[in-house]
Amino acid sequence: MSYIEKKQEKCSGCLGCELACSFAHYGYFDRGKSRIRIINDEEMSDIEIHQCIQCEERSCVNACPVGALSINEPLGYVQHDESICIQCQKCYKACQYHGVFWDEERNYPLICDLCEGDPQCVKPCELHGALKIKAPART
Amino acid sequence: MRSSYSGRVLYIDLSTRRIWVEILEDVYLEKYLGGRGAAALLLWKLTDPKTRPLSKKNVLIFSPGSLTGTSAPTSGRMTVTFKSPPTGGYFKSSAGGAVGLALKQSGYDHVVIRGKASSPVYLYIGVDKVEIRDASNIWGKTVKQTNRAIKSELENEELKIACIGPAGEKLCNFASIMCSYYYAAARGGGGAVMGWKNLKAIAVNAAGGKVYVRDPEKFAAAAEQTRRASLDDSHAEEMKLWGTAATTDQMSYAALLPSYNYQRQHLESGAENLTGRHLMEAGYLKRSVGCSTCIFGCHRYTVINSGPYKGTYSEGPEYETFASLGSTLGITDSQAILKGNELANDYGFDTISLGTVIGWAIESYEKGVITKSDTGGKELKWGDGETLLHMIELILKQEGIGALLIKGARIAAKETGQDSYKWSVQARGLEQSRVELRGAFSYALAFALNPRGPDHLTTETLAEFGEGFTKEAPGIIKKITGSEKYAFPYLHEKRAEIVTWHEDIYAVTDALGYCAFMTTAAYGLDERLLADTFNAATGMNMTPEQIMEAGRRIVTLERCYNLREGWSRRCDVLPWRLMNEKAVDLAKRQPTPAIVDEKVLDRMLDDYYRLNGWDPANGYPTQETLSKLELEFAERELAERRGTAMESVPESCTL
Repeated sequence: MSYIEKKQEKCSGCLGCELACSFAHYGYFDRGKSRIRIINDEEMSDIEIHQCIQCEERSCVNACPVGALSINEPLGYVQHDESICIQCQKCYKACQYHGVFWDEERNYPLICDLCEGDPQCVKPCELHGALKIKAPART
Repeated sequence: MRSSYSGRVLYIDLSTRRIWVEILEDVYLEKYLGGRGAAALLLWKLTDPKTRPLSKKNVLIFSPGSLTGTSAPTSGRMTVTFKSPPTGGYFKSSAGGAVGLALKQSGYDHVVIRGKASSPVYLYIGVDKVEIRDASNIWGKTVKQTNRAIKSELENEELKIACIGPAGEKLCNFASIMCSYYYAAARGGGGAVMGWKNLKAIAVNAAGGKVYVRDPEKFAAAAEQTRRASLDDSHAEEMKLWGTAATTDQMSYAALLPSYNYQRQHLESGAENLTGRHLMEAGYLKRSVGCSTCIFGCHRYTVINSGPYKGTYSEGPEYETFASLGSTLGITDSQAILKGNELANDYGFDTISLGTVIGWAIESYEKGVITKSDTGGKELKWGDGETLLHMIELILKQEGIGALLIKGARIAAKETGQDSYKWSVQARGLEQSRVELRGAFSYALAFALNPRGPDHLTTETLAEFGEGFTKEAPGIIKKITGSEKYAFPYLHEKRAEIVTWHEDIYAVTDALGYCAFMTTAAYGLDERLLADTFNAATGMNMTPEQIMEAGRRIVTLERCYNLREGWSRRCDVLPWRLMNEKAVDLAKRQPTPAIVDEKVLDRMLDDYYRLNGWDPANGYPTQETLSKLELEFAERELAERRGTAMESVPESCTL
């Protein structure tokens, strides 16, 4: 099980992670498709990084009325089964960590899948150091 | 076919309130690479020598690069192109931040604005909607206030906004267009063009927008190679850690730091306060900031938490601002510089020009050319933070000498008279950026040729400093000239070759939307990777040589634009002081005559003209050169001028 460590104070606000995420999953660039979001108050340079943290509570998984969300083994991310999903947004509303986003076009949740173990969002961040892949699991 | 550049142009005529979209022909991408290159061709076609900079016919062209919107590292920049009020010539201004990214995502490769609104307006540009909106309540507001007001009115914090401050409204000749609050499309008075058009801001909503590349797999591979090569450059870490003001103190020790309005090249003490290290150690640095898709993050966000300037916050200062508002004025009080930087950004003044005109005023006061009756009763002194802040307000209010200074250094000196042109550090109407040209001859040649005027933003020939700059720099000089021995800034030989390569790669860099630090400060992004990323994103099939030739085509077209305006070899000069007064500190410390003698400059210019197929008699590219670069259309307009080109000079090129 791995996770992405975030240091918000090191985020440069470049949005490279968002574009990398969209490109990795869809082959094009659309910030609205990203499973990581940089919330940047440009004036004050206050930045929050929103992304699934693979929390202990698994509120989204528990909130799903049809079992469309489950925990991937061995990577530990939340996986989503579109064939079951009833698009009720309960997962989106349940997450207290801003880790679930809603794809307005397709009407499905967007949750970080760690790019199946090779997260693309961390690559543009190598020098900034705000995102780092960590393995094994947190203690 | 999907591509990161589709030639889609949003036209907005503010006079008629007409809004329409056109698709450019393929040549704009194939021969001019989109971005800056395509915009240069658009400016050539949409304006002519009769077009006054402040007129309905002048245009403002906002152009994200042809790769902007993709994840290519640092490709998020945007070029703004227009005919410049202070120079009367071609002007391109490159901005960071996230407005370029948002524009591209909203579906436009260029936004062309013409005409003049009858009352203040701002533009809303979204994926599905473009609107001209009333800005009468926003007119008069600063940059921060404007951003806040528009985000609040449209109830959208995610908007990316380019706007002018009061400087642009007052038609200041060095008013910037401020993007994402703190990123200036600076120099040349683009903000004045916007202000004259009654256009306060452009607010871009990128939600729902998508950017494609032609070959995602090839693109991913080329972008990853670019990222790796750029991070492997020895300069990468320093840029992130200290930003652009990494070596201000070392420049002072080496007598290369423009000080006291270019009378000195060295500060006796305190130069260490004008550095990125100081920003960090003194606790001003809140964050290292990156423009869209930047992998370095050289930009600084700074705050002052205590002392007389408590509550100051802005981005920067960059090296140029430290040198312009600092060493140029003999100021080493970093808090005063940070405050001046904040005011300049919020009012929308270009900091390089601002420092230049204030430096000119202090020297004029010292020499008795202006007096307290011109300065609002204030004694102007070197090394005095209060002088800086007082003068910024005086210029903003256009009071006393401020009413002249807002027009820029050339006009201020001309209207003041006496010998004051000698210490007005400008040429062709543009205040010079903070490079000590008397100790850097590639820079000197490049500044003399730059179609914008004497500054560093069409070239950045740092490589001529060799290992004194970075360990990669001598290799770059060897690649260009055949030998590392030419990596020595006091030489005059091979400067033409060095400048030409830097001009060409800089044009390509801008056109694609990359940051110039990727190609001319760090060197990881080379000709091959430029071509590889461009080809994969757009479906073109260019060799590295062909992409550099396109760079030369862009540079040459920009030259032709100014020639059509009446410029000639006679305009290829530097500020009077640098060609006529020795750099005293530099002469003591370095093996150089420490002056850019006219004969030396002429010889370097001759070399450059011959190398690039230009006629040394008048500085015109020859007919053969234009034909080779497929610029026959320029030849048709220039042919008649060749014979008489040297008989007159345009107003902006007079002292």
